[in-house]
Amino acid sequence: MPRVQATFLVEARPEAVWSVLTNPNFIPKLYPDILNAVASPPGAAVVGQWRTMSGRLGQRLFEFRTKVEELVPMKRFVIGGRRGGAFESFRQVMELTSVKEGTMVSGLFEFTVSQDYFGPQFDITLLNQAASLNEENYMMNLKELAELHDPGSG
Amino acid sequence: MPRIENAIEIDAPADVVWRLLTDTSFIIKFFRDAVSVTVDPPGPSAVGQKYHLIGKAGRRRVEILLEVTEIVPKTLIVTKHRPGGLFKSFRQATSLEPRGPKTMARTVFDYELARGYLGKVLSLVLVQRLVKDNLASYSLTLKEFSELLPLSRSDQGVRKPY
Repeated sequence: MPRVQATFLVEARPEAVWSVLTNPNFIPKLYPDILNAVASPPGAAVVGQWRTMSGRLGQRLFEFRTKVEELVPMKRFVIGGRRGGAFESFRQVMELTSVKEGTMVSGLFEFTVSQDYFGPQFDITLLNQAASLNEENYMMNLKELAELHDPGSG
Repeated sequence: MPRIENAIEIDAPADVVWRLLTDTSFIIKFFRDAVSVTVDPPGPSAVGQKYHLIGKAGRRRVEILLEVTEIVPKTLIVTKHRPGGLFKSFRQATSLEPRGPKTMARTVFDYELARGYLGKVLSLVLVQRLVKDNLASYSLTLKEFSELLPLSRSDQGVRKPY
Protein backbone atom coordinates (compact mmCIF):
# COMPACT_ATOMS: atom_id res chain seq x y z
CA MET A 1 0.00 0.00 0.00
CA PRO A 2 1.46 3.44 -0.93
CA ARG A 3 2.42 5.55 2.04
CA VAL A 4 3.58 9.15 2.49
CA GLN A 5 5.15 10.08 5.79
CA ALA A 6 6.90 13.19 7.09
CA THR A 7 7.83 14.91 10.33
CA PHE A 8 8.35 18.65 10.25
CA LEU A 9 8.51 21.71 12.46
CA VAL A 10 5.78 24.34 12.24
CA GLU A 11 6.81 27.65 13.75
CA ALA A 12 3.44 28.23 15.35
CA ARG A 13 1.65 27.07 18.46
CA PRO A 14 -0.26 23.75 18.36
CA GLU A 15 -3.54 25.72 18.52
CA ALA A 16 -2.73 27.39 15.19
CA VAL A 17 -1.82 24.08 13.54
CA TRP A 18 -4.88 22.40 15.01
CA SER A 19 -7.22 25.11 13.74
CA VAL A 20 -5.98 24.63 10.17
CA LEU A 21 -6.06 20.82 10.41
CA THR A 22 -9.59 20.60 11.72
CA ASN A 23 -11.32 23.36 9.74
CA PRO A 24 -12.72 21.84 6.52
CA ASN A 25 -12.57 25.30 4.90
CA PHE A 26 -8.83 24.84 4.51
CA ILE A 27 -8.96 21.46 2.72
CA PRO A 28 -8.94 22.88 -0.84
CA LYS A 29 -5.88 24.92 0.04
CA LEU A 30 -4.07 22.02 1.65
CA TYR A 31 -4.46 19.61 -1.29
CA PRO A 32 -3.53 21.32 -4.58
CA ASP A 33 -5.89 19.24 -6.70
CA ILE A 34 -8.93 19.40 -4.44
CA LEU A 35 -11.37 22.02 -5.70
CA ASN A 36 -13.92 22.14 -2.90
CA ALA A 37 -14.94 20.38 0.29
CA VAL A 38 -18.36 19.98 1.86
CA ALA A 39 -18.52 18.79 5.46
CA SER A 40 -21.51 17.15 7.10
CA PRO A 41 -22.26 18.35 9.71
CA PRO A 42 -20.78 21.72 8.64
CA GLY A 43 -18.14 23.39 10.76
CA ALA A 44 -15.04 22.26 12.59
CA ALA A 45 -14.14 18.58 12.70
CA VAL A 46 -16.04 16.27 15.03
CA VAL A 47 -15.71 12.51 15.19
CA GLY A 48 -17.99 11.05 12.52
CA GLN A 49 -18.00 14.17 10.34
CA TRP A 50 -18.17 13.29 6.63
CA ARG A 51 -16.16 15.25 4.11
CA THR A 52 -16.98 15.06 0.42
CA MET A 53 -14.51 16.69 -1.93
CA SER A 54 -14.22 17.13 -5.64
CA GLY A 55 -10.83 17.11 -7.23
CA ARG A 56 -9.29 17.21 -10.65
CA LEU A 57 -7.06 14.83 -12.47
CA GLY A 58 -6.05 16.36 -15.75
CA GLN A 59 -9.33 17.41 -17.37
CA ARG A 60 -11.43 15.08 -15.23
CA LEU A 61 -13.36 15.59 -12.02
CA PHE A 62 -13.27 12.96 -9.30
CA GLU A 63 -14.79 12.56 -5.85
CA PHE A 64 -12.90 11.94 -2.61
CA ARG A 65 -14.85 10.86 0.48
CA THR A 66 -13.53 10.80 4.02
CA LYS A 67 -14.69 10.67 7.61
CA VAL A 68 -13.18 12.04 10.82
CA GLU A 69 -12.31 9.00 12.93
CA GLU A 70 -10.38 10.32 15.91
CA LEU A 71 -9.73 13.68 17.56
CA VAL A 72 -7.48 14.27 20.54
CA PRO A 73 -7.42 18.07 20.78
CA MET A 74 -4.04 19.61 19.88
CA LYS A 75 -2.48 16.15 19.68
CA ARG A 76 -3.93 13.67 17.20
CA PHE A 77 -6.24 13.84 14.20
CA VAL A 78 -7.24 10.76 12.21
CA ILE A 79 -9.17 10.69 8.94
CA GLY A 80 -10.40 7.54 7.24
CA GLY A 81 -11.81 6.92 3.80
CA ARG A 82 -15.44 6.22 2.94
CA ARG A 83 -16.50 3.83 0.25
CA GLY A 84 -17.00 5.16 -3.22
CA GLY A 85 -14.84 7.80 -4.80
CA ALA A 86 -11.18 7.88 -5.70
CA PHE A 87 -9.79 5.63 -2.96
CA GLU A 88 -10.38 1.99 -2.17
CA SER A 89 -8.85 2.73 1.22
CA PHE A 90 -7.49 5.89 2.82
CA ARG A 91 -6.10 6.76 6.22
CA GLN A 92 -4.44 9.97 7.41
CA VAL A 93 -2.90 10.32 10.85
CA MET A 94 -1.59 13.69 12.03
CA GLU A 95 0.13 13.99 15.40
CA LEU A 96 1.22 17.23 17.03
CA THR A 97 3.81 17.72 19.74
CA SER A 98 4.40 21.08 21.37
CA VAL A 99 8.10 22.03 21.28
CA LYS A 100 10.01 25.16 22.23
CA GLU A 101 10.20 26.39 18.63
CA GLY A 102 6.52 25.71 17.88
CA THR A 103 4.89 22.42 16.92
CA MET A 104 6.44 19.21 15.66
CA VAL A 105 4.01 17.58 13.25
CA SER A 106 4.10 13.95 12.13
CA GLY A 107 1.92 13.12 9.17
CA LEU A 108 1.17 9.70 7.72
CA PHE A 109 -1.00 8.94 4.69
CA GLU A 110 -1.76 5.37 3.60
CA PHE A 111 -4.01 4.81 0.63
CA THR A 112 -5.08 2.52 -2.17
CA VAL A 113 -6.37 4.26 -5.28
CA SER A 114 -9.56 2.71 -6.63
CA GLN A 115 -8.83 1.43 -10.10
CA ASP A 116 -12.51 0.49 -10.32
CA TYR A 117 -13.47 4.12 -9.86
CA PHE A 118 -11.05 5.55 -12.40
CA GLY A 119 -11.31 2.75 -14.90
CA PRO A 120 -8.73 1.16 -17.16
CA GLN A 121 -7.89 4.37 -19.04
CA PHE A 122 -5.99 5.68 -16.03
CA ASP A 123 -2.59 4.30 -15.16
CA ILE A 124 -2.44 3.21 -11.52
CA THR A 125 1.18 4.35 -11.14
CA LEU A 126 0.28 7.86 -12.26
CA LEU A 127 -2.75 7.90 -9.95
CA ASN A 128 -0.54 6.86 -7.03
CA GLN A 129 1.99 9.55 -7.92
CA ALA A 130 -0.71 12.22 -8.13
CA ALA A 131 -2.09 11.20 -4.73
CA SER A 132 1.38 11.13 -3.13
CA LEU A 133 2.24 14.55 -4.54
CA ASN A 134 -0.96 16.02 -3.13
CA GLU A 135 -0.25 14.52 0.29
CA GLU A 136 3.32 15.87 0.33
CA ASN A 137 1.97 19.28 -0.61
CA TYR A 138 -0.68 18.98 2.09
CA MET A 139 2.03 18.94 4.73
CA MET A 140 3.96 21.86 3.22
CA ASN A 141 0.77 23.89 2.92
CA LEU A 142 -0.24 23.04 6.50
CA LYS A 143 3.04 24.53 7.66
CA GLU A 144 2.64 27.63 5.49
CA LEU A 145 -0.95 28.32 6.54
CA ALA A 146 -0.35 27.72 10.24
CA GLU A 147 2.63 30.09 10.20
CA LEU A 148 0.71 33.05 8.74
CA HIS A 149 0.77 36.13 10.97
CA ASP A 150 -1.86 38.78 11.54
CA PRO A 151 -1.18 42.04 9.67
CA GLY A 152 -0.51 44.03 12.81
CA SER A 153 1.95 41.57 14.33
CA GLY A 154 5.69 41.97 13.94
CA MET B 1 -10.12 53.55 -8.46
CA PRO B 2 -8.42 50.52 -10.00
CA ARG B 3 -10.56 48.37 -12.29
CA ILE B 4 -9.86 44.93 -13.69
CA GLU B 5 -12.09 43.62 -16.45
CA ASN B 6 -11.92 40.36 -18.23
CA ALA B 7 -14.12 38.44 -20.63
CA ILE B 8 -13.58 34.82 -21.45
CA GLU B 9 -15.34 32.20 -23.51
CA ILE B 10 -15.94 29.00 -21.56
CA ASP B 11 -16.48 25.70 -23.30
CA ALA B 12 -19.33 24.70 -20.99
CA PRO B 13 -23.05 25.55 -20.79
CA ALA B 14 -24.13 28.54 -18.72
CA ASP B 15 -25.86 26.20 -16.23
CA VAL B 16 -22.53 24.58 -15.37
CA VAL B 17 -20.70 27.90 -15.04
CA TRP B 18 -23.50 29.34 -12.91
CA ARG B 19 -23.46 26.34 -10.58
CA LEU B 20 -19.76 26.84 -9.95
CA LEU B 21 -20.06 30.60 -9.58
CA THR B 22 -22.72 30.27 -6.91
CA ASP B 23 -21.33 27.24 -5.08
CA THR B 24 -19.58 28.95 -2.20
CA SER B 25 -17.39 25.93 -1.50
CA PHE B 26 -15.33 26.88 -4.57
CA ILE B 27 -14.63 30.51 -3.60
CA ILE B 28 -11.21 29.97 -2.13
CA LYS B 29 -9.97 28.16 -5.21
CA PHE B 30 -11.06 31.01 -7.49
CA PHE B 31 -8.74 33.42 -5.69
CA ARG B 32 -5.18 32.13 -5.67
CA ASP B 33 -4.19 33.68 -2.33
CA ALA B 34 -7.44 33.07 -0.48
CA VAL B 35 -6.86 30.69 2.40
CA SER B 36 -10.31 30.08 3.86
CA VAL B 37 -13.82 31.45 3.74
CA THR B 38 -16.72 31.50 6.17
CA VAL B 39 -20.10 31.89 4.50
CA ASP B 40 -23.09 33.21 6.43
CA PRO B 41 -25.63 31.73 5.95
CA PRO B 42 -23.98 28.62 4.51
CA GLY B 43 -25.13 27.28 1.16
CA PRO B 44 -25.37 28.53 -2.40
CA SER B 45 -24.96 32.26 -3.05
CA ALA B 46 -27.98 34.38 -2.14
CA VAL B 47 -28.56 38.11 -1.81
CA GLY B 48 -27.48 39.26 1.66
CA GLN B 49 -25.10 36.33 2.15
CA LYS B 50 -21.86 37.38 3.79
CA TYR B 51 -18.36 36.10 3.08
CA HIS B 52 -15.48 36.39 5.52
CA LEU B 53 -12.41 35.56 3.48
CA ILE B 54 -8.94 35.08 4.86
CA GLY B 55 -6.16 35.63 2.37
CA LYS B 56 -2.42 35.72 2.53
CA ALA B 57 -0.05 38.48 1.57
CA GLY B 58 3.45 37.21 1.92
CA ARG B 59 3.50 35.57 5.35
CA ARG B 60 0.64 37.70 6.64
CA ARG B 61 -3.04 36.98 6.98
CA VAL B 62 -5.47 39.53 5.55
CA GLU B 63 -9.25 39.73 5.97
CA ILE B 64 -11.73 40.47 3.22
CA LEU B 65 -15.38 41.09 4.09
CA LEU B 66 -17.92 40.81 1.30
CA GLU B 67 -21.66 40.57 0.74
CA VAL B 68 -23.71 39.34 -2.19
CA THR B 69 -25.86 42.29 -3.28
CA GLU B 70 -27.48 41.17 -6.52
CA ILE B 71 -28.32 37.94 -8.26
CA VAL B 72 -30.06 37.43 -11.58
CA PRO B 73 -30.24 33.64 -11.93
CA LYS B 74 -27.86 32.23 -14.54
CA THR B 75 -27.02 35.77 -15.65
CA LEU B 76 -25.44 38.04 -13.01
CA ILE B 77 -23.94 37.98 -9.54
CA VAL B 78 -22.66 41.09 -7.77
CA THR B 79 -20.57 41.13 -4.60
CA LYS B 80 -19.59 44.23 -2.63
CA HIS B 81 -17.34 44.83 0.31
CA ARG B 82 -18.49 45.30 3.90
CA PRO B 83 -16.70 47.72 6.22
CA GLY B 84 -13.40 46.47 7.58
CA GLY B 85 -10.64 44.35 6.14
CA LEU B 86 -8.29 44.81 3.22
CA PHE B 87 -10.55 46.86 0.98
CA LYS B 88 -11.86 50.37 1.39
CA SER B 89 -14.20 49.56 -1.45
CA PHE B 90 -14.71 46.49 -3.62
CA ARG B 91 -17.29 45.45 -6.19
CA GLN B 92 -17.27 42.33 -8.33
CA ALA B 93 -19.85 41.80 -11.06
CA THR B 94 -19.78 38.57 -13.06
CA SER B 95 -22.24 38.15 -15.89
CA LEU B 96 -22.87 35.16 -18.11
CA GLU B 97 -24.15 35.08 -21.66
CA PRO B 98 -25.00 31.72 -23.25
CA ARG B 99 -23.51 31.20 -26.69
CA GLY B 100 -24.87 27.90 -27.87
CA PRO B 101 -23.11 25.18 -25.90
CA LYS B 102 -20.55 27.72 -24.65
CA THR B 103 -20.73 30.68 -22.28
CA MET B 104 -19.22 34.14 -22.37
CA ALA B 105 -18.29 35.21 -18.83
CA ARG B 106 -17.48 38.83 -18.08
CA THR B 107 -16.11 39.93 -14.73
CA VAL B 108 -15.45 43.47 -13.56
CA PHE B 109 -13.63 44.22 -10.32
CA ASP B 110 -13.58 47.80 -8.97
CA TYR B 111 -11.60 48.14 -5.77
CA GLU B 112 -9.62 50.37 -3.49
CA LEU B 113 -7.29 49.13 -0.76
CA ALA B 114 -7.73 50.32 2.85
CA ARG B 115 -4.26 51.70 3.46
CA GLY B 116 -4.83 51.93 7.20
CA TYR B 117 -5.44 48.19 7.37
CA LEU B 118 -2.08 47.32 5.85
CA GLY B 119 -0.16 49.00 8.65
CA LYS B 120 3.58 49.44 8.50
CA VAL B 121 4.59 45.85 7.88
CA LEU B 122 2.79 45.04 4.65
CA SER B 123 4.09 46.80 1.56
CA LEU B 124 1.38 48.63 -0.38
CA VAL B 125 3.12 47.82 -3.65
CA LEU B 126 3.28 44.10 -2.82
CA VAL B 127 -0.39 43.99 -1.82
CA GLN B 128 -1.49 45.94 -4.90
CA ARG B 129 0.38 43.45 -7.06
CA LEU B 130 -1.10 40.44 -5.25
CA VAL B 131 -4.64 41.78 -5.50
CA LYS B 132 -4.20 42.54 -9.19
CA ASP B 133 -2.82 39.06 -9.90
CA ASN B 134 -5.59 37.33 -7.92
CA LEU B 135 -8.38 39.24 -9.61
CA ALA B 136 -6.86 38.87 -13.06
CA SER B 137 -6.63 35.08 -12.74
CA TYR B 138 -10.22 34.68 -11.46
CA SER B 139 -11.80 34.22 -14.90
CA LEU B 140 -9.17 31.74 -16.03
CA THR B 141 -9.83 29.58 -12.99
CA LEU B 142 -13.59 29.79 -13.54
CA LYS B 143 -13.03 28.64 -17.12
CA GLU B 144 -10.67 25.84 -16.09
CA PHE B 145 -13.06 24.45 -13.46
CA SER B 146 -16.16 24.78 -15.65
CA GLU B 147 -14.51 22.82 -18.43
CA LEU B 148 -13.59 19.83 -16.26
CA LEU B 149 -15.47 16.70 -17.21
CA PRO B 150 -16.86 14.11 -14.83
CA LEU B 151 -15.41 10.63 -15.14
CA SER B 152 -17.53 9.05 -17.83
CA ARG B 153 -18.96 5.55 -17.85
CA SER B 154 -16.44 4.63 -20.49
CA ASP B 155 -13.61 5.70 -18.14
CA GLN B 156 -14.91 3.65 -15.30
CA GLY B 157 -15.01 -0.05 -14.77
CA VAL B 158 -17.71 -1.72 -12.76
CA ARG B 159 -18.47 0.40 -9.72
CA LYS B 160 -18.93 -1.30 -6.40
CA PRO B 161 -22.06 -0.36 -4.50
CA TYR B 162 -21.60 1.81 -1.41
